Amino acid sequence: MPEQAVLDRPSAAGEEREEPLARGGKFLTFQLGGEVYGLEILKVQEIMGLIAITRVPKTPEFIRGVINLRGKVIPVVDLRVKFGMERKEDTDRSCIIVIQVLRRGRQITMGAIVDEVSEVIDISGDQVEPTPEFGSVVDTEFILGIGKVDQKVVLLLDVDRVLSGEEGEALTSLTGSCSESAR
Amino acid sequence: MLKKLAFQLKPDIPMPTLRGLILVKALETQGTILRVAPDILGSEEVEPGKPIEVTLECECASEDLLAILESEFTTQVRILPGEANSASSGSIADVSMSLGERVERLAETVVLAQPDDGRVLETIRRQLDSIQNGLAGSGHEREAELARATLGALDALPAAEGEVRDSAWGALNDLVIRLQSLTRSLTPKDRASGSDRIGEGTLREDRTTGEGSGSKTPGAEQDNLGCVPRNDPSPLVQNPELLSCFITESMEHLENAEIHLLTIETDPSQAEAINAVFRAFHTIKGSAGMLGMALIGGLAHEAENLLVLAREGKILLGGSTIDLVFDTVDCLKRLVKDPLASAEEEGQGGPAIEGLIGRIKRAASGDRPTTPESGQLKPTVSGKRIGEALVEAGLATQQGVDEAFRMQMESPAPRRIGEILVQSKQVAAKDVAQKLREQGSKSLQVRETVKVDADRLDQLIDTIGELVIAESMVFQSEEVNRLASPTLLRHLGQLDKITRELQEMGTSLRMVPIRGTFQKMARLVRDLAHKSGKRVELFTSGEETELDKTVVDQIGDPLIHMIRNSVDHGIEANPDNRLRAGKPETGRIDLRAYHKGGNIFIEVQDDGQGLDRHAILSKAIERGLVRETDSLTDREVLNLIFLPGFSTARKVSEVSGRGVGMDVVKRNVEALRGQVEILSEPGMGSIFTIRLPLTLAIIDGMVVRVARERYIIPTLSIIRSFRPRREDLQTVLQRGEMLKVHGNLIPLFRLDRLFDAPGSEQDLGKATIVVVEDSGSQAGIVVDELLGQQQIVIKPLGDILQGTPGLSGGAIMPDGRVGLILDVASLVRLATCEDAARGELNEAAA
Repeated sequence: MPEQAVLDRPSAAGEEREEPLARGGKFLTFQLGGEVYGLEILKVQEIMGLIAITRVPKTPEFIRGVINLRGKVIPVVDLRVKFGMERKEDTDRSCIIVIQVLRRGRQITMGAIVDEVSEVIDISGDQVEPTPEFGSVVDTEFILGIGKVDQKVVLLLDVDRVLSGEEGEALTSLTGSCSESAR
Repeated sequence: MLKKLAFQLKPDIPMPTLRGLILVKALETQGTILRVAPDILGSEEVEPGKPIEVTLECECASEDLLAILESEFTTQVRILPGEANSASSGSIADVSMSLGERVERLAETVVLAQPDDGRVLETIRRQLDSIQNGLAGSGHEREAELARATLGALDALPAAEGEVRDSAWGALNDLVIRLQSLTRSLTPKDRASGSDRIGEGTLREDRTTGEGSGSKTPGAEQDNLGCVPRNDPSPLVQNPELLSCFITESMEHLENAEIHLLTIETDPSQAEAINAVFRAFHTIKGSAGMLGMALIGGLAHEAENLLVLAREGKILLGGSTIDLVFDTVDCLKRLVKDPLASAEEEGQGGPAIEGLIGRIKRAASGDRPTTPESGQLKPTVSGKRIGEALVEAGLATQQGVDEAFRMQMESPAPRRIGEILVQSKQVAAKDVAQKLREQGSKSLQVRETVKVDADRLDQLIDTIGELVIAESMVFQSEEVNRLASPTLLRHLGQLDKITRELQEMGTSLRMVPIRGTFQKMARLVRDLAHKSGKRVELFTSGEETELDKTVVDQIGDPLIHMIRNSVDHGIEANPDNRLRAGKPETGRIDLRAYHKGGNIFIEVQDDGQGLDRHAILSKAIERGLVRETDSLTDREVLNLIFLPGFSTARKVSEVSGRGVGMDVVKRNVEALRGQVEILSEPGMGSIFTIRLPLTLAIIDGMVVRVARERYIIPTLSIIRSFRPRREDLQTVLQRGEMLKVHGNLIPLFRLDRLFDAPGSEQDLGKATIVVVEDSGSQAGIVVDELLGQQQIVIKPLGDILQGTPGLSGGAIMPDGRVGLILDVASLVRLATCEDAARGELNEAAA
């Protein structure tokens, strides 16, 4: 129920948001460049090992390509590239997390490549701290908050933002301008 | 004032709801519950259907109390005298429904019933029987008699067929309407007397809100239309399910009526067709009456009257009379489609509809000459009348048939031409029967169908698609092939066969004949010809050609534009010009559909003046679309009319000429992955051909390799593919590459460079060129290798990647990976765009 979800979390679809704060709940944690990230478990549809990915030309670099998810074609995003981390060869621990994200009020399915999936943990609301500001050095707009559990730090991702943000628009505008100049 | 009150509950709502309702209602009335019998608030369960009495003590004005209770509870509410002891509520006994209630129940059953459903028939018979008893008891002898007669007819119904069944059903409908008007006219009186006596604890009759119908209709008075006007126009909205059912069914009836009207226009003596139209109006009238839509009911009623006269031969449906019926159908369509708006219109008295009703009444009362002028009977759709067929077969003389036709006109009773001819001993009855059979066999065949939600169908087809892919993955897996056990192979073969069958069936599920669309066009041609004052006949063929449902839905629009174009621009306005050119006075438009080579072709051909190459060209130059110096092939010139906003019409007519149209055609057809072509011969007419792929979900594709990647090119857009000879290659400004094919130079696009796929063969002499065509212009795509042709199930790329330049979708390849399908048109655009961008860069650098 997308509408419901929008109501629950206006930050997901709204153009601007005040202070995004993650509420507590269950999170799937995974490794990415030595850091631990967390995804709301409700957003996760399934986790699969790396399978053959078909590159889609003329798309941003962080879109690794498309995969066949039981007959459906879904895009796969390389989170390392997306977050501007150093590129690394895939290992046998690399995984694709299949996630349901909201984009302009519509539910879409996407895959995200991560280094390694860790575990599912409970994080209560009072264990979440707001994202610190790093100025322009580090872009923290994808981070909902920072969870602290047993001395561990988990960066809680705003997955709707990560995977559905402006890249879609960037793509469309690329096509648009191109077809226009062609006329 | 403290009051005691007893009420009975609608017994067929679930027990927990009932409990909740009782408590809530008690709260709303600010009362205390004295007694509930049987005690469902405690532990007692009650059988469904058994009344439940609730006694309340409350402080509340009677009217308010009733309003609160009535809104939810049905059957009976009564207020006990203040001192009444709770035991007296046992006297509430009269659970039997009032006559009015029973009639409403019956009406509801009848409207929702299928004549061939035995169980429903049984219910109807029971209800009717109880009504008949009630009628007889209350002194409505005549109605009771009618009810008894109808009962008799119903008894014979299960065995009855065709016309008999229809007539019994019609009688039942008539009876219901009559009874409804009777009981509704009685109700107000009952009500008035009832409310006077409320305080004395008299039973107060309340009408049931028939469960699931929302059909209660407190008619204030009965008018002579046989349908019930209401003050409050929106109770129908209360039951959206019933309403949507009404809309779908009524639209079906109206479309049906339209088809039959076209038949009637060809041959006004077609009693069967008149009956069919009559039935359509009749059913709509009944349902509208049930839902309290007086406007629709009234209009349908008037149209029905007109058709009764036509059926009885008192008037002839032709010329302006049949136009009137067409108008009524249109008007009803509009009203039915948007019942809310129609309810609003009803509130304003519906001036437009009043006008229409007035016109129908005038036509029915015979203000118009009852026999049409002979010229008005011009048939517009192909199809022979029995008379013509007999003359052609040499069985009767033209003279005899004319004579018989005249007799038919004059005869007060409806008689058929064949009948008259046989009576006057002109032809043998056997011959007539034979010819009639031939006629009949050409008429529509009705097949049994099941309606399925389109989404579920799509899901099924998707799943079948996945099954096919999964199956081919098993087949191609090395592990299975290594086993090589004969039993396994045999079973796999079986599985393969079943899968293929399932796939074929799945594809065919979405296929529907294009007949419906063609029939709409017949109507369109008729209207357009009327408006433009031209004489045009439409001939259709290949109505049974099956297309994907989506295609059929979306091809209507382009076809409308093409037909309009043909009628308005194609067919000469002045019949003399046609005669001079040696063509018949009446213009001819052919609408054809057929399969050829895995494609579906739809053609619109007219025998008009053809496209004026000169006019198109000068218009295009005037609008700056082409330069005067450009030399264009005929084909290129004709294709100019597909540009947006292009029209050569000197003045904008009601029919066309606004310049929207042909570009819509092209756009829509391309959206269906099809192509449009024009052939035109000045003075002889034009042919517009739409070529469409067989289905939308599966295409034939050529799999090509570029570097280490695979892409699929739709076979539909491939002209040829080959290894180029070095001497045919040509570079332009050292940048652009061209290839000479049959003396023409076509631009070459290197897929590896466009798609940044490194590792591809750079020597053009060793590469393969696939020549593709998009709207008449060709281009060569350079690939490394052709991997083979295969059927591709198209999968959308999803919200984010849809619209990626050069790609139209994805497909699951037999190895389970995703392959990408090239979109030739946007690929060519992308290539030009990149060239332009590079050119700009170079210029900037210089």
